Amino acid sequence: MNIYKASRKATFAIVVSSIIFIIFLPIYFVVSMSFMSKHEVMNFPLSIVPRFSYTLKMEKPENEKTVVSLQSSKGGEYTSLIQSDDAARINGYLMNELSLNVSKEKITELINDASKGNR
Amino acid sequence: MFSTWKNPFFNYKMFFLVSSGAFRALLTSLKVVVFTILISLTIGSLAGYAFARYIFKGKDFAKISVLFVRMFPAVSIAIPMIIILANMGLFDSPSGLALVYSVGSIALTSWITSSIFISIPVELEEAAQVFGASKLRTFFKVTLPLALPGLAACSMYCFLGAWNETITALLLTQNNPTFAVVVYNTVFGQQANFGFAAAGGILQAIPAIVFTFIIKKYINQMWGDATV
Repeated sequence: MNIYKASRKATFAIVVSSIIFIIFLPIYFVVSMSFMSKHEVMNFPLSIVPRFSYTLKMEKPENEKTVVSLQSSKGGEYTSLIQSDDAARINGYLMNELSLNVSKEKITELINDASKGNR
Repeated sequence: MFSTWKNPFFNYKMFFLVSSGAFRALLTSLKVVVFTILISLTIGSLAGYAFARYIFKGKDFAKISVLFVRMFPAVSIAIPMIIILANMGLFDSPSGLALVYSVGSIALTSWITSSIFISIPVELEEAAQVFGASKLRTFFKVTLPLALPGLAACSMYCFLGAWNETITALLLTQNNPTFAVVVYNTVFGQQANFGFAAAGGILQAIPAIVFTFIIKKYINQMWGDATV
């Protein structure tokens, strides 16, 4: 392959990849962000694919309020999100931050289970 | 430990809940767009026809002067525009906003349609007139259908211009904002949330994409995809 042909191919590849970066990547991120929760959007670096489910853990340390923790997308480690015994407050937090609709009854049940040390 | 599914459309739902009057703004935007297209195509296509078919004094100056209005940024002429629209009783109304958008759109519509009308053979019009059609009937029955792809391209331009325009709408509306202004307020307003703003952006893009796909076949005709 001569230099002229190679340079033409390289230029074409640069133009195509530039178009992808300039046009398609921002569109992809906007579409992706519209499906992300506030917690995901505020995290750095921004994840490429939005999460569709969350694994949460509720713990009740002795003489303290219930701690709600979120498992990372890769699994394994948990990050504590909120410490409260108020089901309504936890429900509001999960709704606003994680786009989760967990009923207050379910949260109360989970808090009770956590205090019993079952979860 | 428990796993639960997220509501992926939460931001879309919240966008309409948080941005008060988003539905009304959507309707306002649609009204603005329809008025803009109607005004621009009616005046622009007739001006384009005159530029293409008639020879008159000052034709070149007239052609250039219609483009003058596009040379001034909207912000710089905002105050006079507000005063004029307020005097006309059209401030904060879709028709007032459509008038302002039409000024810019008419210029480009007349230029685009003028080049389309030039490409349509005069012989076709002459033949129609030989068979007894009036000038107006010839225009509507012969010339206009042949210029349809060009008009479709103009309508798409008008639609996208009026639908996505934010700065003028922000200045010329108060209680009846357009959808673009509502999205702008979601990004920079008190309820700033990137998720809601992204959802609003996608919602704003959907009508533009749908309109573009509807109009696509006519534009393809202009580019030689099908015979006219």
